[in-house]
Order: sequence, then structure tokens, then C-alpha cells
Amino acid sequence: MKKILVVAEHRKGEIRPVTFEMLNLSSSIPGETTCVILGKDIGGMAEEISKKADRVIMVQHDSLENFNSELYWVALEEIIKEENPDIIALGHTAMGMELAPFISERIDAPLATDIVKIEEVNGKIHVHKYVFSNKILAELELRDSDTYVITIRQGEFKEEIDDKNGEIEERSFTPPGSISKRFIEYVEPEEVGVDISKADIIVSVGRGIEDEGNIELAEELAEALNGVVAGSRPVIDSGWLPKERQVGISGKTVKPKLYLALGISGAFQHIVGMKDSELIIAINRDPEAPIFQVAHYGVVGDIFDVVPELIERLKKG
Amino acid sequence: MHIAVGVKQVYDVDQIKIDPRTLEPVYDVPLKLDDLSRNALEEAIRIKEITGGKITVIILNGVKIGEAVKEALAMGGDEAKIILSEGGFLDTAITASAIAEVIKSLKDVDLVIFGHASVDTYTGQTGPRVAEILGVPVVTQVRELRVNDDVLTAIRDLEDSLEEVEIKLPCVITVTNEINEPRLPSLSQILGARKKPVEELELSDLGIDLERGIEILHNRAPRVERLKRIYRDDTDIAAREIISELKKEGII
Ligand SMILES: Cc1cc2nc3c(=O)[nH]c(=O)nc-3n(C[C@H](O)[C@H](O)[C@H](O)COP(=O)(O)OP(=O)(O)OC[C@H]3O[C@@H](n4cnc5c(N)ncnc54)[C@H](O)[C@@H]3O)c2cc1C
Repeated sequence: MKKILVVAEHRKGEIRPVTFEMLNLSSSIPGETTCVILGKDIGGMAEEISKKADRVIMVQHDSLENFNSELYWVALEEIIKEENPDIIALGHTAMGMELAPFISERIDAPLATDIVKIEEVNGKIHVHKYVFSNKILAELELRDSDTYVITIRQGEFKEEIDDKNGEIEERSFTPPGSISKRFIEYVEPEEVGVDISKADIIVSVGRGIEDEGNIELAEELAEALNGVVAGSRPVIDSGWLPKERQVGISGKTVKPKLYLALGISGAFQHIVGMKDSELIIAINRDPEAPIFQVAHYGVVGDIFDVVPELIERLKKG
Repeated sequence: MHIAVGVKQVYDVDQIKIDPRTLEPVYDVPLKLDDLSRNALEEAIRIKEITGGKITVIILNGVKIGEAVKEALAMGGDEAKIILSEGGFLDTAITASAIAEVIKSLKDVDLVIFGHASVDTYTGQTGPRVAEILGVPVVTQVRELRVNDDVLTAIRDLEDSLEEVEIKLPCVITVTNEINEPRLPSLSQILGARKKPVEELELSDLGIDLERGIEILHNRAPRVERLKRIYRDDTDIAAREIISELKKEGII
């Protein structure tokens, strides 16, 4: 039985789903999970987490309300030393990616980031992670150590565990006298317009569309299919489509009947937002593009050849 | 202000092909300066344009780093420190220790900038590790940065929103590709880069434990299970069959 210490993630009063995915780790590695939650007014969240964890450690303080790697580390250090876990798990997220290398360095433990699978093989910890722009899946062995640190890719550890009823312990926290980092505010993008998460048919464009003027081509295809146009983040950041049309981890999660990906490479931040679509068709000129790993149908080719062809055939009926 | 920029040389992953028999990647593709390294360097150059100072480029690699270093100096680095290793995979913990050692030896570095992750191994660890070793704070995944004397204001990427944070120098920043559009050096800058000072250091001389972290067992393309059909050549056939499939599924 391994001792797995999970660092809970929450924002604006809500537990992030990756927290429960980390608690599911006990189905990959037989173990006992202790979930640490840091924040302010987090009693309700601790309660919710306790249903899926063997134990919950809750630390409340005004200064912990929003994530701050400097303060979070101070709060975690003592707990890690006392608990002496075999595995420390964080999300491969803005929070986990800032904190995990720090922890690994401090306690001199091997760190594997962005993992999609973990298992014990002959007493060694093996993990799987994507490398080379998600084209290659690497299997890695962690060198023997008392403690290992991992960050998990979101949406990969979905195999749910049975309900538990963990005890909640509260610990105190005294922030250090001087800190050099301060949270100021959340900056929210404005939202108006089409709700792509409700659409049945989505034509989604990526950087392969090359130019703002070519969005029209996608619109024409969407019209012929009776669907809406969405896009990957670079397309939104270039201002070619409004923010509410973005699919992915920092945009919308969609589950349409048809998701047509045009010139999208398939970065995990994108895949997380669309992989549960009923039918995925990808058109990309790179045969190794990772989008083909989630597609049901793939066309290796130029979107500027294939899309006009599709439009023409659809118009003919 | 003295800015150190950690850059990485990587395989051009867009060109990597996969051996269909072994499912292993074929590495006969060119090496290049990683995209996010360019963004890191560009941000340093923009800051230096306002504050004045110096940019030191730090790179660690086993093989053929000449081109990446020349490019970094042509873009606007003032000097380079190359850490030579014998090649082979190095855990990020080792890379970070080596880079931190070099930064310590420079003594007066105010700001260290990295890309938030590299396109090849995508570990995202180097920046925060270096910060820890140097004992300074870090802000990762920064997409907007403002400098006011010794305080930086950064807009940082969270999954579903952005966050504004303030951080005091000295510190470490890691950037995403949204932060800027890296410049292409002019011919005269490319020629001028040759005269800039480059120092080579041996990894084995830095006094770092080289047996840490992680070992790679194998790298293979994932088996694709979902794909029912992939069309490679004939777009005409592809279009026809896709449409008949959409009809069958009742989508159109
Ligand atoms: C914190 C964070 C959050 C993020 N959130 C999101 C998110 O919510 N959503 C998101 O999408 N991304 C997100 N990203 C960015 C993500 O990592 C990728 O950079 C992005 O998804 C890539 O977009 P793309 O596929 O359009 O572009 P690229 O990766 O550049 O891919 C373009 C593709 O088009 C193909 N192509 C080019 N020309 C043609 C042609 N003529 N015909 C056919 N194919 C062609 C190429 O082969 C390539 O595969 C996030 C990143 C970070 C760091």
C-alpha cells in the first residue's frame, strides 16, 4: 500500500475536476489517499473531497485564498515532512506545474510531469507521458526514491473509485513575515454570442487555416452542414474568431454529434475540450499529427483541397 | 538590468516521422532553437530596450549547439554560456542545477526568463527548479509582462481564466507563446553575432549529481485505436466517403 498525497486544486469556491482525477490514482497504484486542501472558507469543499479520499488535511488562512506558489509551499512543507508520502500528486495545471518542480527540488524526489498512466512494475514506478508535440508516448522509469512527485494530465484518470468517507483534520498555518509574490486579481475574458457547447455540429479551425480571410471557407462548410464555427487558441488569440468560440482547456468543452477539425494539430489543451464528441473527423496534412489519435476518420491532406470538395458535394446534396 | 535567458535546442518535431514497424521516432530531422525559447529571448530583448543592461544566453546540450547559439545572439543576446554534456538524455533536475550554477557564477542576474515548456519533452520543470535553487520566486506561464523598477506585473495563464500577479526582482519567469512575436534577425545582426563572447563550460565540471530523476525506457508512437479509416491520397474519395458516412450517421 502506497501513501499518496494529493494536493487539491480549487478556484473561486469550486473544486477543480483534476482533484478527483488524482484521487482516482488509487485505482492505478494500490494506496491510501490523503488530500491536502489549502485555502480560505474551504470547509464545504473539504467535506466534498472526503467522500473520495481516505483522509483530508485542511489548512485555512486568509493568505491562502488564492494560489501563490510561495505561500503554498510553506504550508505544504510541514505536512509533507510529517506525512512522508510515497507519492505526491498534483495536476498538470497552472498551479501544479508551478509547484511540483519546486517540491521535487526541495525534497530531492524524482518528478514526472504530465503523466497519463502510472503503474508499479517489479517494485519500480513506471509512468507514461507524451513527448514530441504529443506524437510519441514515452514510458519512463523513476529512479528509486522514498518519495516521488507526479503531475497528471487532466481528463486521463477518469476511472472512478468507490466512495470513501475520509476524516477531515484541520491544521494551522502562519504565513512568513515577508513574501515577494502577490496575487492581484483574476482577469476574466468577456463572453457574449454563440454558445458552442450547445451546438450539434462544429467545424473547428486551427492555425492551418493560415489567414483570417480563410475563416470564410470554414463558415461556408459550417453553413452547408448546419453547424457553427469554432477554433483552437491561436486562432482566437489572433482575433480571427471571438473568445467564446475557443475549444479546449482554456476555452469551452464541447460534445457535439460531429466535430470536424481543420488544420488543428491536437495539443492536449485542445483535445481535453473535444475528445468526447460523438464523431471526430480530422483533416491535417501532417500524417503524424496527434489529432489523428482521437479522430474516428482522418484525412491526410490540405484543407484547401478537401474543404472545397466537401462543400461542393454537400451543396449537390 | 542583467537578464539571463535559458534556451533549448530541440528536434524540429513538426518534421519527425515514425517508423511504422517499430513505432519509434526517426530522428534524422534538423535541430532548431525551441519556439518558446525564442519568446523568452524576445521578451528579454524588449525589457532591455526599456531598462538597458545585458542579456546572457544559457544553453545546455550534447550536440551541435552552434546554430542555436548563433541565432540567439543574432536576435539580441549579448553573450552566451554553453554547457557541454556528453549527450544522451538528462533529467530536467540536472539541467536546472547546471543552469542555476551558471547563473550563480554570473553574480548580478536580476531576472531569469525561460519558455514555460519545450516542445520535445514538455516537462515544464526547468524554470521553477532554477528558482528554487536560486532561492527566488517564480511565475510560470506568463503571457503579459510589465516592469516597474524592481517589481514585475505578470498576467498568467490559468486554465479557465487569467490571473494578475506581482513579483519582486530577482525572480524567474516562464513565458507562453502569446507573450510576443519573436523577431527575425537581420543579416547584419547575424554577422554581428559572430563577434559576441561565447564561453564553453563542461557539465562534469559543475559539481552536479548526474544520477537523478528519471530514465527513459522507450519512446513509441501511441497505437491508435479509435481511427476507423484514414485517407491519405485521394481527396476526392475522402470527401465522398465522409459525406456518405455523415448521411449514415444521420448527421446530414
Ligand atoms: C495554459 C495553456 C492553455 C491552453 N489552452 C488551449 C485551449 O483551450 N485550446 C487550444 O486549442 N489550445 C490551447 N493551448 C495552446 C495549445 O498548446 C496549442 O498551442 C494549440 O492548441 C495549437 O493550435 P493549432 O492546432 O491550431 O496550431 P498548430 O499546433 O500550429 O497546428 C496547426 C496544424 O495545422 C496543420 N496544417 C497547416 N496547414 C495545413 C493545411 N493547409 N492543410 C491541412 N493541415 C494544415 C499542421 O500540420 C498542424 O498540425 C493552451 C496552451 C497553454 C500553455
